[in-house]
Amino acid sequence: MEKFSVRVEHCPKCHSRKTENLVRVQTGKPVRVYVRCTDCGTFVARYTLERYTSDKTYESLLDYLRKHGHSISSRFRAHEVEGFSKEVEKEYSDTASAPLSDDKRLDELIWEHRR
Amino acid sequence: MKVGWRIFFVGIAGALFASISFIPIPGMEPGAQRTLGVFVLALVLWVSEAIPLYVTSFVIAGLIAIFVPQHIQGVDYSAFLAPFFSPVILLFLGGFVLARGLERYDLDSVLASAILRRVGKRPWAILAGFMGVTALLSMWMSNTAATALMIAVALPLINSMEADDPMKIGMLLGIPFAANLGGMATPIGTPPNAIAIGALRNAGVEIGFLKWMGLALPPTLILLVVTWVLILLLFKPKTKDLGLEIKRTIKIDWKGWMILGTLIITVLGWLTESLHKIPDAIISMLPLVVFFSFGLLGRKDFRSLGWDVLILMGGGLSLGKAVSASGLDTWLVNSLGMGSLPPVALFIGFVLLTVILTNFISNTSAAALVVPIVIGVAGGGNSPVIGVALAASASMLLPISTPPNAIAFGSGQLKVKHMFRTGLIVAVISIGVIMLFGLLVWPHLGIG
Repeated sequence: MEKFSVRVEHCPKCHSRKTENLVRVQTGKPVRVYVRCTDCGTFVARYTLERYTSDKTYESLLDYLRKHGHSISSRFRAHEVEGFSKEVEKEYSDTASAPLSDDKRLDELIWEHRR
Repeated sequence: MKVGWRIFFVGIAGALFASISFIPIPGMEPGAQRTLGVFVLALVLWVSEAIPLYVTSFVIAGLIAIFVPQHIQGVDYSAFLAPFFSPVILLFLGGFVLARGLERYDLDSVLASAILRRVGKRPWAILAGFMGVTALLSMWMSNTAATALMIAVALPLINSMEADDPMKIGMLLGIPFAANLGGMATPIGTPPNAIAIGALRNAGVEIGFLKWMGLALPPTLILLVVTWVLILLLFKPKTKDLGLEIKRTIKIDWKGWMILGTLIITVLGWLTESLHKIPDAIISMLPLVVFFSFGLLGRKDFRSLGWDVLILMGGGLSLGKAVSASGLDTWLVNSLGMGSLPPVALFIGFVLLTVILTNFISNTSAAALVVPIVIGVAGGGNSPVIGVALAASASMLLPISTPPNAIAFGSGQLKVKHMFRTGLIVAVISIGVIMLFGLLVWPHLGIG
């Protein structure tokens, strides 16, 4: 398994770990998620979604293929479609059970992925 | 595929290329020999997919540009790079932009909802509605995207049916099959069509948008109806009424109307090319200019267009150009004795070969490999080329045959035997219908 780190978002003002996601959906625009501190209401972070997968993984896959269908090679085969749900479940399970990191370099890594 | 297998196939392809290209073959010109080497390399790499399909296209163009031009008088290496921005590629790019606009503003979904709202509750009508809409969408957008959208729309209905209702399977087969068939009907429906049009254009035969639709739409409609009947017979619905509920409200803003207006003008432009004489490839620029100028689509959309598909098609066209310019086609005809075979036998043989290939490799790769040979062997006949392009869409047998089949199979409600049994019948009927049109109908429409 490739190495990865996990951290929990915290409020920059009150340092609370209690946050909520405000999902902004607008026709013609990418979905954006605003993270807000539930304790003091401070803006924590904004994520722009490239790909969304809900607990209904097959439906999420259909949505992705609708948007990116033309780029699918013929190697995108049945077993990959079938394996998609398992892959998501496994990655979630790994992520949820991983120790949380306080490494400051994570901020830099996330910053590198900024848009 | 594991790295070891990738290296193995790349090694095999390289070794075959080197040995075929450089060990003298009696009676074969060096240019044709080098092209044959590239052709075999492309065959191994496109079938194995050891490297991405579009990367193989770059390898093809590179090898042809290095090894072939010096053996052909008056041909510069740039002649083999030109297909990557040929009119048919531009036509396809226009199609991608239209499809992106429809998807971005949810217009494909709105269109599907508007039609499905009117199909009633009878299972046969609902199946016809889903298959018809899927085919209609796949004529203008990718078969994969059309399937993904329509299965997503159908899923609540499928899940609401009784567990043992055979119509569940029928619906899940009807949608991908309709997408595969619908792609046949327009030049931008699926890449094999564009490869055939591009290859014919290289050979001096122009087939415009309207003409292609005139040739391909009737067999497509026949196959759709036959497939619909077949599914109803094989998977008889258990219930008489299905509760299809399309809740979606139809709301289109000014941007959506602008997309639709551009779509209508572009399609009309394509269909009336013979009147205004503006080439279809130039008309394809209209959605590009309008959508991106008015901010309907952005740079991110531009970057996410199907460039890999366009490059793959470019590689196929480049290979086709090399096959004809180097005289490899003539050598194949003479040395394999294909020149003495009756045209009917050739037509049947190539259509059969394509249907077999397309069920195991990508449709585009199958067309890219077979069309250049057919062009040379057909001796001026164009029906086999169009027949091969349509046959490349008859990939119905297995989940691995084409992404639409894989998507339907991914629902977990289909078994391979369901797809194979139904798909085999549809594929055999497709071969029959294509041959019927190729041998009896198309010659009367000026396509010999």
